[in-house]
Amino acid sequence: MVWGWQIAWYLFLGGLGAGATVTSLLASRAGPRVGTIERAGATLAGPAVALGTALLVFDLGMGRREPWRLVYLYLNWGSPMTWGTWILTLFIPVALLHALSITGPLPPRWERPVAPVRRAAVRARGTLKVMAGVLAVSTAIYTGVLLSAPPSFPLLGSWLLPVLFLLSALSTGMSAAVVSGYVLARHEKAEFDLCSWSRIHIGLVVMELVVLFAWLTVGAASQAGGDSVQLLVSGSLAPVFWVVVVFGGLIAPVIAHIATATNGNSQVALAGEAGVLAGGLALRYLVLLAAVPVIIGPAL
Amino acid sequence: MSTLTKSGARHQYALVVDTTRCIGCEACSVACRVENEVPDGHWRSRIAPPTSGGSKAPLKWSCMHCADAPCVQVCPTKATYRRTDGIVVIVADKCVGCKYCIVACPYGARYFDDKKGIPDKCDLCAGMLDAGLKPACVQTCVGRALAVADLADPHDKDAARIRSGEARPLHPELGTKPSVYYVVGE
Repeated sequence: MVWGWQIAWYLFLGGLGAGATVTSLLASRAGPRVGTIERAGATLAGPAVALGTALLVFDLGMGRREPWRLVYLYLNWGSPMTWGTWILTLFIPVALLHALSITGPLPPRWERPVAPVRRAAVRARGTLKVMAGVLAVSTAIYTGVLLSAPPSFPLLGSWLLPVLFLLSALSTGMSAAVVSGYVLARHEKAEFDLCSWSRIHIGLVVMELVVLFAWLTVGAASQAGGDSVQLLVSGSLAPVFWVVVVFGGLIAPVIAHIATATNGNSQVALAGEAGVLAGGLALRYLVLLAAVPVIIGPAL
Repeated sequence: MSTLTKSGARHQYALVVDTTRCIGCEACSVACRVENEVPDGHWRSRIAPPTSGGSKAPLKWSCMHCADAPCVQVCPTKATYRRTDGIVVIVADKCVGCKYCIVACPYGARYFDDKKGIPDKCDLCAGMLDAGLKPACVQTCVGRALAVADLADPHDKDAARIRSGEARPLHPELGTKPSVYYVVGE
């Protein structure tokens, strides 16, 4: 696979930003008071997706050397990458405006130039929420569609990959928002209800576990897909797959969240969130590394 | 751009590889490398080794100039496109170097040229064809195993080998409609 670590991080950060936005929007339904998770999720989203997009641009050839060429990326409506370019172009500013609309003022020196934008964002808060939600889900699904569209790698060419990436995006974004929200709550000496989030997160992670193995089962149907699956489950990538993705990123967090939901031990849940983040990043890396091409030799 | 055939129809190019005449000498690969200044470690055209499950003959392997090319479909900038004469080319000035076409090609026929900052591949020596010459690989082939067929020309003998089914594409099951056809022995 010609795509390397920059793309793996981009897929991870794009998903994380999308999931953090969805988490923020879910948190906003709890009541009129803007809680720490709502603010943390919204604040994380824009910078995370922007950083991922910067890595994407850094990975380009001539697009990096002559950035004005990037305008061509908006041209081919048949290409998933053009869809993604439009989605990211809209999502990054909408995520930043959404964050401005629900967070408090910055120190006066920084707030002064931002103030008119913040006032406009607050007025348009409802519209921004809807737009942020739609664009976040689009971003999360798109990262999977980008890889599943071409016919060259059978393991990737399944509709289950976008589903897996959507679930992983929601899960990693929720972890990032919950950990940041927890830190913010401690700083503000505010109350923090981790238990209800743990219950939602258990559901997400269990679904991700089911989709992950369904994706591998469907992918194994072809020769090259089977070789990819073998690389992951028993080949050179197996230690990272089983330890970091499956155990650290899915099973351990479920156990941690069950422990938190039953006895309220927040430290355990936070360790589980760290596992989700590491597992989500490793998943993106492994998907690229395990891509075995459909044609590995001539056949007539 | 492409010119017209004697009958006035557009050219419709295809490459015919007669594996019964190929001795696997790699002269085509070397000629391609020299003509197109292919960087070390990459290839536009190469001889793929025979495999136990597939062909027993060595196969010249390059861009298949697919009619339904995945690289053309995924290219976000439309830098890669299929000319009316069937040759899939890259417009260097429009390419951003995102490598999506390399990911999309099931034949693994593209490589990334770090110096140019764009992907590259066989273009059937389009400039030479436009000038009325044959591609470098075809000119060089010592066994005359390679030929450019023009499917728009009803009198073209190589095109007749494609129409008759004597020459067949590689991996047609992928549905990309390749324009490189292979003649294999019994």
